[in-house]
Amino acid sequence: MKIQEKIIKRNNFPKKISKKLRFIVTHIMGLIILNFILISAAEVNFTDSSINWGNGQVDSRADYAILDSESNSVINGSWTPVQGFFVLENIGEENVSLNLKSNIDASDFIGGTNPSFKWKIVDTDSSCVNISNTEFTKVNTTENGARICDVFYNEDSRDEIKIYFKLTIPPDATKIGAQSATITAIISAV
Amino acid sequence: MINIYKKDLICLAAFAMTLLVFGLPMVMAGITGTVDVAITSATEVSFDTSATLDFGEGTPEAGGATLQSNGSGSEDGGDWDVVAGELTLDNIGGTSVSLTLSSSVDASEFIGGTTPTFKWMLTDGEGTSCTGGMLNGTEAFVEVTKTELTVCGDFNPDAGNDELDIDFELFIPYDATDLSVPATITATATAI
Repeated sequence: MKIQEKIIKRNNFPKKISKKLRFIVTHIMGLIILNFILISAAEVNFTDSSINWGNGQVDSRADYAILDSESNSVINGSWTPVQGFFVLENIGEENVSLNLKSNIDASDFIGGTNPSFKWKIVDTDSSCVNISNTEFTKVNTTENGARICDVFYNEDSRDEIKIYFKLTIPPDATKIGAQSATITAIISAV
Repeated sequence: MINIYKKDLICLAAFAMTLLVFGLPMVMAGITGTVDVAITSATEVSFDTSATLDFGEGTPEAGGATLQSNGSGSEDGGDWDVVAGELTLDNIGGTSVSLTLSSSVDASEFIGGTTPTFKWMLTDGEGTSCTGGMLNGTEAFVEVTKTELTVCGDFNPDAGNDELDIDFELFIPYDATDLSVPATITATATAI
């Protein structure tokens, strides 16, 4: 009699575990499917995605050259001024959160003594909730980048932000020749 | 009992797989833009605007006259006014350079007569502008050369450490000839 009871218990125990595991797996799979659905509906796009100052050098006796894409100016340098910005648009069907990152920082992009590489976010259509980096701020090179918007709307009337850039180039810049920085937008469904 | 354990194993495997997938961030990345700039190294040196050193007129005594511009200046063996001053050379570029100097004339062409001398000497005008010190003996008075002479191997561009002073010494013999030929000093910088 005791032997039979033990067998029954041993048979029931794995069944309970199995049910729980199947329950967990089913729910997790559901979450994953939901996640993919949300991601498939989330999309942003740079409609303007290039700023190129071309070639130049720091003026003689100048401490720095400053290249500003917002003010269309070059101070103390021979570069051609560029008035430009990136336009980032939420073209998906979902609101998203938005982070930005750069693949290199100022020291890798420019080099020398106290260079700087900054961006500035401008949101003219209130497309962004809890916007940050609205003044020129050092680019972020961390894996997840800098949080720019907690919510980046997808509505036609508010689905766009602009990104301006400013460089400070010292006369002893070490990154001589053509340099390129890649800015990546990272979104998450919210 | 065996069947139950197989299912459990399958479930565990599925669970592990879902953890792996679920472990991936709910993030979509890959939208990029580029910022480009090309930087030209600024290699440039310049003499200060007052880049002239004029000892004026005078007459040597029988043993000849020696004029020096360094320090407070000095004159010995003649009736020249004492001239203090130097040519100051700035590294106004953005990079360290190797520096050479040359003179358009040598002592015989500049002064003439018997055994004249025409020498230059370099010193740091600011801090340590020439890393490693002057070369080819130019930390003291040495005869100028018409060919390029490397005087500094690492002339700094850094503010506060980017000036070199060039002083001169002339020995004017009694029989010097008045050739009225100015001496032009040329500095050549090469990025290092």
